[in-house]
Amino acid sequence: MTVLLAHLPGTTSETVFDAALEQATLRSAPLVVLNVATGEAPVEASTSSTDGLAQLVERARAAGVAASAEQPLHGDVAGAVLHAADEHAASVIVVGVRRRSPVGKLIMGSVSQQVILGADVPVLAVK
Amino acid sequence: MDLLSNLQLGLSTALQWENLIFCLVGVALGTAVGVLPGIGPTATIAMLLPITFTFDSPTTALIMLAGIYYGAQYGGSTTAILINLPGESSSAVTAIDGHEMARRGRAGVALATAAIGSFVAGTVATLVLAVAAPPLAEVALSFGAAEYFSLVVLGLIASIALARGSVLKALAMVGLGILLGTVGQDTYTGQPRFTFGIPEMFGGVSFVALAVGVFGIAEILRNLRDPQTRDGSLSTVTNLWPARDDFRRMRGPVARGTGIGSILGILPGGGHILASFASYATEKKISRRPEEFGHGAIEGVAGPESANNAAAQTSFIPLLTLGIPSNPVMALMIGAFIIQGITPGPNVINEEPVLVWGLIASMWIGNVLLVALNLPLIGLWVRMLRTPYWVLFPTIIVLASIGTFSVGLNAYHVLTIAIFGLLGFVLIQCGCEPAPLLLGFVLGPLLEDNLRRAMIISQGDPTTFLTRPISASLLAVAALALLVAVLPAVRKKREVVFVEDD
Repeated sequence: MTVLLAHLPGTTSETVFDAALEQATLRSAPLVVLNVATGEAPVEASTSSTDGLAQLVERARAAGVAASAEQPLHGDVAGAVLHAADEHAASVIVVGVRRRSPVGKLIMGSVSQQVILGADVPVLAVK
Repeated sequence: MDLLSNLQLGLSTALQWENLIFCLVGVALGTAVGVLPGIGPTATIAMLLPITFTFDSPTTALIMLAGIYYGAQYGGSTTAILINLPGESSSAVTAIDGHEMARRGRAGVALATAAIGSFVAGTVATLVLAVAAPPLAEVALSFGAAEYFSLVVLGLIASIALARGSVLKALAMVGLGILLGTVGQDTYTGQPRFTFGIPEMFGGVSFVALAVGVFGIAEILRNLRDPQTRDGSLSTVTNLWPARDDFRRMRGPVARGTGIGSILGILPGGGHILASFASYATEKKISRRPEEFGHGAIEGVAGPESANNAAAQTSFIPLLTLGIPSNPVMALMIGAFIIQGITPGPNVINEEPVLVWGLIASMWIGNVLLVALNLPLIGLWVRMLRTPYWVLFPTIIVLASIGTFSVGLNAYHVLTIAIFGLLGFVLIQCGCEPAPLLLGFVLGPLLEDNLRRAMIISQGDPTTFLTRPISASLLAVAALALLVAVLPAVRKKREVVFVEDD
């Protein structure tokens, strides 16, 4: 049983990370930090640096939670998150949600929504 | 002083406003293609060749094309340091220590080191070029067909000996290139060769289509197969100016890198790539702190960056003095000469002093422009890298096709791009470098022409290559180079030089 954090670097990432850490502590389960690189452009804002991931793992460990990080390369982000949840037998998936305009949602879709609808385990959506 | 008046002529040419502007355009464009994966200077220059048709002065055209070439070396190292994404193969080495420096908050120092190293090396190598070119051209004037043949043989052998990876594969690539060069009508008898009765093939394989295919399309296919993505978090660039200790540590590597690069640049093949690898290996070997390499050693940035820039400059020497290209980019420059109605060869330096010296001086000015252009615009280049592949690649392919079509107004050439793109992709997957292929393709016709001319002159006596002293010594050096390349001891050394690649 693990806690899976779908990590996206950005302004809300701290809050989401704290929530995931809290879940891991409560459940005394290891934390898996997952960042999916889509490989759509040479440089992507949604891809974390290796240093950044290592830092998150370090912080979780300092808080007494066993942690690991993964960065798969996959075009379908939601699919990769769900796959990782299966693989690690996650008991909860933690995702961040952003406020989007209706038009933005129509065009871009929402990765979090796909994760929430597709997951077999509870999903914690953090704002 | 001949040298001084030549340089003065060069500077006054290069400082004319239209030359300055196109030098700026060239280095800016070069930086852009150096930064972007999937498109390098070779494919870009190939595509822009037709545009230079419309230029009034050949000097301006060549200044711009040369700017693209060394600008790309520069752009490649900027992204190598900042985001560990080497846009050019020669900056792969810079990424090892450069990016480590950036991770340690020394991005500014790494960039400045690369800039200073490149600039110093560029300046020295330009002087080497200015000093070495006239006497070499003098010697080349006495060359006959036999000497040219032997020189081309030496060039091809050297490109095999210096190629990355297996000697056998490089030899096969050169052979394939020479064979592709024979497609079309025989220049002496008019007999069609390897045309399979297809009329479009009588004119031979289009060089631009071949270059765009194996360097552009193949690279795009490779990227699609295994996409590369980096995080966009930029290390904040602060503290640009290196400390006194940094200066002390980079002095040696810059000097040695310049030396290694100047020599290797003249030799055919991937001179500038080999130069940066060789410089890195040298610095690591002689350093008192080899354990620092790979963890942000400033020597690992200063050496290779100087070496590849020096090599980029001195690779113009064989082009300007002998009319023989030492790498695919130089082969395209020959194309540009021909488009402008100038026959490349030893006479160019005497008949077109404004062109030659203007070009040489413009490289120095271009290096200054690059320093001024690159550091403030880093944010722009990185933003450009956020362009998704699905926008980037189709754009490149469309532009490449239009560019190639406009060279000969022949739709068949566009088909050729597709074929060579696939071929190039297969070759890269098999571990074969496309550079020797292109070099073989360019030098093949030169080889054949001079071989046949020499044989006609000697009335079919093949000993003509061995009885003429210059020709015989060139062939001897070629034989020695081949022997050395296949010797096990040297082979091991080569592997050591390229080991950082993996």
